Amino acid sequence: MPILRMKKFTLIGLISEKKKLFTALSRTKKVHLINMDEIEDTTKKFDVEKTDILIKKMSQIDGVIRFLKDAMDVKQAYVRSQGDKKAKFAIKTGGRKAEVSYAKFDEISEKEIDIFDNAVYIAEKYQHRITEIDGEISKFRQESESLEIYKNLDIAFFDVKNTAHTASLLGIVQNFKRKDFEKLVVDYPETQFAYIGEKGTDVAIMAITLKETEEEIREALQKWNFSQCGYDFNVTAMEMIRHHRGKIERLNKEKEDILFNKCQELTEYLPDLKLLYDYYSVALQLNESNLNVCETSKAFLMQGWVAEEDVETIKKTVENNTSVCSQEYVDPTDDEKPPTVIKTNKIFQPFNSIIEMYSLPDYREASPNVFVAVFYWLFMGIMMGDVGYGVVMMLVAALFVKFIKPEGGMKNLVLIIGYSGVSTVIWGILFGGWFAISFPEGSIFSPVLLSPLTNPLGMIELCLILGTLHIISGMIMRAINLIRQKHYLDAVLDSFVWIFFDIGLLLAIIGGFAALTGSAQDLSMLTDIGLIIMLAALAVVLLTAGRKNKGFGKVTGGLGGVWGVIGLVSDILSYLRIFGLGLTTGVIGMVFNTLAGLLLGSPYFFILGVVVLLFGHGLNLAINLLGAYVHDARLQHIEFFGKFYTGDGLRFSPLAGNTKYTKLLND
Amino acid sequence: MLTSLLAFFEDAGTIVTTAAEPMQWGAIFAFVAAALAFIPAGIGSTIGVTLGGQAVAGVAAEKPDVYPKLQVIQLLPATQGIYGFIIAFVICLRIGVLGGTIAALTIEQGLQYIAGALPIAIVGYFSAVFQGKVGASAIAMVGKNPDMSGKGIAMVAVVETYAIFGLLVSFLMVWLGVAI
Repeated sequence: MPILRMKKFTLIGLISEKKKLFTALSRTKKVHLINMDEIEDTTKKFDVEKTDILIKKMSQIDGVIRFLKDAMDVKQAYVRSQGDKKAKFAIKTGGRKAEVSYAKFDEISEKEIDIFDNAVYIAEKYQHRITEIDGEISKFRQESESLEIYKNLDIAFFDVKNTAHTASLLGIVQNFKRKDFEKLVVDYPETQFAYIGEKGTDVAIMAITLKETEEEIREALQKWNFSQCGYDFNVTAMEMIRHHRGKIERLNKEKEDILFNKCQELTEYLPDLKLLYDYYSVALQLNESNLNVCETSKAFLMQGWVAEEDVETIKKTVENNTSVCSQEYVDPTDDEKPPTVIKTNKIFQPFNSIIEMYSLPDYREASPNVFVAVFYWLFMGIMMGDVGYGVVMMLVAALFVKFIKPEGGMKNLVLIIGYSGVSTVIWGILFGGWFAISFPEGSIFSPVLLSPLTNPLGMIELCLILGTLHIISGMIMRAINLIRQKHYLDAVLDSFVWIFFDIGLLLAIIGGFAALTGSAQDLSMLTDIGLIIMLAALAVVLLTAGRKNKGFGKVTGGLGGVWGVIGLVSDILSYLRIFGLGLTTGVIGMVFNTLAGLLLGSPYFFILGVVVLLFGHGLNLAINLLGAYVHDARLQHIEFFGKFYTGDGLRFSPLAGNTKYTKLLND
Repeated sequence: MLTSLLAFFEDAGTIVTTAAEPMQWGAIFAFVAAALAFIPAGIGSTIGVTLGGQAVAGVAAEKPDVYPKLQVIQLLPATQGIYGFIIAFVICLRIGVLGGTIAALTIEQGLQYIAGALPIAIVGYFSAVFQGKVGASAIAMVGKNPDMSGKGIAMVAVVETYAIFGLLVSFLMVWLGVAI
């Protein structure tokens, strides 16, 4: 029974014991609450204030965690750039959730004040200071940049001032050309002009003139948008720039000190911070779960789903945590929709992720997991089809599981690759694929079944046969679903008839290919039987597919049913992609072998040849794993699921079961 | 180092010199066929991957977490180029470029190779470009709703079907279709 049977439970208990009970239930991770409609004379109590406080604290802690992680990354990058070999090869293990017991989880609330005082507030202070430093640095940088144009001015800005009879004009003009300057000098002989510097289209100039002609000069300069220099400090531009540089250096030092030293001291708080975050998160979810519960002034009423196999556990949990509580466990009614949990043995488990990638099956639907697992595994093996690659896949997956210890989706992916490695080895032996090396005929490495390159017709036949079998299994799934819903006639006419047709098709394919390849055995009998079966099935379809329509619709419905053959044939042809991808793996492997062969023959390029081999086969494996993964999934999702799958299952989400950084364990 | 290079090219040179007679038109057509098989499919893949890459850059800037999922989708249109490459390689293999002696082909045989290269050349090009477009949309979709990555990948993989058929048709034509 791959989809777990669910029981709907109803609990009525005392408000005073609610919190304790909810906490206990959440820790079983086996309860999925139902959002109840409000019942007369009850209310739903939801503490908005508490939610706000929790959300605020969570975002505060999350900000600090991210800040500290960034600080660590910056330091690591720095250490790496300094060539520390140890750091270079250190594997990042930050992606995994730390495992924490509930005993420790409960203790964290006592440390809350300590954590806030010694880590959160201080980290926030550092963060604030770094923002300030960044602001100041950019301010100094900008000022230095705008001072740049005056750097050849060797008197202090303060000294550029008027005397009793002269006026000094210092400022910037735009689009000012050399010849403009020369013209000014000629036009105003009494005035002293100095060309100070330029930057882009801006030019800094200085003019010393008699007070009487000051206005005239100003007006002349206005032609180039003269803007007077605003600086009045008592040092030269160059000195000021140097001063800024010193300041920037000091600020950078301070920033480095905060990031490299002070923050690193705080990183020892990271595990606690993460746990505290999840503590709040669980509290928040428990608080939000109140929205699903009806309350009176003294009692509460809650409903939810629990897997049949867990009912006893939940019963005990309720008894242990309440003094009085009414419990009721009933089977779901037909119009209720319990959540879906697929449970299988360990071997099939990873392949469930292929189903979940599409969507979960409905609670009442038969779970396709066994078919998906078997066919995915088979197809992946054909697409890779090489003993060498299969061994590498198994080895890499085993090492990955052993040393990196992936979790969740990553773990499933790695396991799928590892398991498919076995299938790849098997097909590799059948196809004679050994790192795509071409062996002379008759060697022990020769194909046992057929060689895809020299016998493409055989390969096409194999793909079509496997495809038809896959489609037949899809039809079987449809029959199971229809029988479960007690639609027996539909099961016969919409499913068994097509299975019958597919079997005929299968026979016709085998017979037809035997004739095509001029096989020694005469299998034309098979073709004939197959064709008769197909025609018989089609006749039934033509007569019955329109049975639910009225009048003329019966005829069009029947024709429409027969038209379904086109869809079926195109579905089966789609399995030729298995051959296509297998061909890709084999031929690209050959390409690299040929290339490397040229190099390996020469003693001078031997090492380069080895590099080409390693790199080439690595690349080939990676590209084709991606292709095989995607196209194999597509065959499941479109060709196979298309025959029967509704896939509108509800995900089982345990009460307050979401944690971001830690994985909470019962002792 | 120089002597070793010279030795290598002398070795390589022998491959060319063993072709006893000047190259035939048939062989030249076969070379054209190999080039034709790869060029459009390769260009198509380049365009397709570029379209995906631009979409990924936009989405991943806002949601770095979903990047690995998007990367998979971006890579999907890369395969058409590989299919073109395979057909080009198979043609080279058949006419003996890799063996050292180029087979004597009639003009008709050369033209047959060109015909054989066309399915993957044309279908490969369009399939890659359009797959890139669907991929860009899928990337935007997965960026908004990361749970839909499975459906996004299937959506994009559908476009590839005809490129795979193009590969198979070309393969059968160049591998079995021309008798040498």
